Amino acid sequence: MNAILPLLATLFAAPAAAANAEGQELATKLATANAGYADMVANIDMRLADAKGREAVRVLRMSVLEREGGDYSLLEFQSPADLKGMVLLSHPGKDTDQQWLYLPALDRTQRITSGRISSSFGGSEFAYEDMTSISVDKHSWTLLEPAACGEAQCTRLQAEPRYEGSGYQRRVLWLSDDSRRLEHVDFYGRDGAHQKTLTYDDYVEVTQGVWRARDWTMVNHRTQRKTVLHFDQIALGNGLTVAEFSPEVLD
Amino acid sequence: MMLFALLGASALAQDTFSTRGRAAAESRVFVTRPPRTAQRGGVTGSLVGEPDFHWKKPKGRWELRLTPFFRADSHDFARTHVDLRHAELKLRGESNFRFAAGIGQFRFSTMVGAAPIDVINQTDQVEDLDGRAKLGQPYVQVSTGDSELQVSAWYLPYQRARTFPSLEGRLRPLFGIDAANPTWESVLGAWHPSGAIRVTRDTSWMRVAGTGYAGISRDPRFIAQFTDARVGVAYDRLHQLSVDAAAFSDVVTFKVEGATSWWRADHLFSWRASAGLQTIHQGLFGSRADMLLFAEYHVDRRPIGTPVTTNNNDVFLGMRLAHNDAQSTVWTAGGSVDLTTGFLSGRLQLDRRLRDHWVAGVQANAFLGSRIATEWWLGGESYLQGHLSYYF
Repeated sequence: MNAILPLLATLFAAPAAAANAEGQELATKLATANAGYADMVANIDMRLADAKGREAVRVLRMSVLEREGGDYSLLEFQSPADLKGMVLLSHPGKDTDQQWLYLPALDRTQRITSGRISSSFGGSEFAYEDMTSISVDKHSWTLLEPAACGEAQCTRLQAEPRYEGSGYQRRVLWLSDDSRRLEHVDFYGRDGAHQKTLTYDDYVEVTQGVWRARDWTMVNHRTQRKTVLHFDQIALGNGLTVAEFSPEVLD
Repeated sequence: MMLFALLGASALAQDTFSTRGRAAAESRVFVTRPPRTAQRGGVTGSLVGEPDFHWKKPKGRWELRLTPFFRADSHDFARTHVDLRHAELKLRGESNFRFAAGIGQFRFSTMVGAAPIDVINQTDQVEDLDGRAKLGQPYVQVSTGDSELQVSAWYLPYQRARTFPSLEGRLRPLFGIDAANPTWESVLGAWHPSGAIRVTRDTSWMRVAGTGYAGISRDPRFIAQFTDARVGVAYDRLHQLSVDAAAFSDVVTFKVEGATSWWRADHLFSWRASAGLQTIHQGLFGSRADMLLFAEYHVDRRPIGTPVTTNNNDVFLGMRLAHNDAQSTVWTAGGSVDLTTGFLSGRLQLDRRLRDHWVAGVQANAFLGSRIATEWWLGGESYLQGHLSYYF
């Protein structure tokens, strides 16, 4: 287990210093803290809002299997009806992730190449690369100076992708020193501009000691578009197996 | 813990049965009068239904799928038809062994302009000339392997005959096709068993596969009949070996496919090959739209006495523009030119979601060329098509 699902991570207090080694250590600590849940299933309400506030709704079903080297995940659209059955399967790898997209209209499975991972996922403000776990090994981690986040103080951890095709120059994770949770993530585009912010709210204790954020809000500062994911019926330890996350099961 | 157990149970129970599918009204508007006297209709209408039922056992041990299809057409009784696209049971063991049986669909080719190595399913030709619609194929399949190496074998006990427009229908050759009385090279007729084996190797940057097939050809050979103005169809024995490969780089995917075939008892030999690439351009002109571009070359060399092909020396160029908006607006365009005859066919299509369950689309299809082309009869059959679909 060397991956962080950023929305799902819990945080332990971290020292505030600027050093790659410490950044790497904190990232590993975060990943370790998130380990041991075996698997997770959840329903997701995805609300897409444009700059004028007009909304469209998608419903998805998510399954995640904890794996050494990166968690496997399946995202299946339940609505709108013409997308029902569309499935995104993600296998994080040591150097690069593998993602497959099953399109029911074509009855075909397509490989998502590295050149496509920064594309919009389902018309949302999330990219394909946002829908897989953030692997510790595939990023360079730097601990930044702490900063205020609301009334609290936050530790800031910077992740620079070391894989091909990312739409981001870097991400900055804001970790509350009070709640010891991930508060939000700033996404910086290839041009270095602050492109998007993902905020986590409504943490619930799914089972003893395991906390999950139920609301993820991604705001695109360039387009003023917003996507809100609301997680419901979160369940851990369902006995999922690797066979259920094979590309062959998509067809 | 009780709350956790209840949440888990209700979440998993949702996977046991699901329904999806569509019902649609379609219309074709032909830009010219029917070129043949028997043909009817400059404007045709169709009603289409394709529900798709899934039963899945939690943890994916087995899966049942039933997908009936029907079309009722206002002008062509041969286009009015019913089929089972899927009626299959899939079983998965604890190991990597998988078993499946029933009626299903299998596509191997990743080309867009043609599918030179697809060999298992029969084409539902009355649905569309592009050959993408396939009839359900009875099969038994065993597979093993993991995400890096897979081996599959199929036993195909029955052969479906290709569908063709009737004499009254549009998009048919000068002479009608007597599809209801095919000739089979095998004395077992449609029950002549066929089989296939496919080995696929997947890595993070490439996929390569080899397929062997023995049985009856899905491509029919056309034969003149003395007792009927229509041409007859014959299905010959076929042995085929094919290889297909794709290499995935940052924004470009390279694809090559090739097949060699031995037809009939006298072993007429043919070969075909395709090569292509596709590229993706994200954030087109600063927007959130993505554009996929395709370029392919297809060559198909067949001797007299084997089924004719329209992909003997063709270049295909295509484009898919996804707006990535809430309405899932997508433009697709594609055109193919026969470098030998100059025959040109092209399509431009727009699809967009209107509301949660409703999707509308329009397409324009054009055929231009001289009478020396195999597909010259399409020259007067350019048409517009629209659909309004309700998805459930």
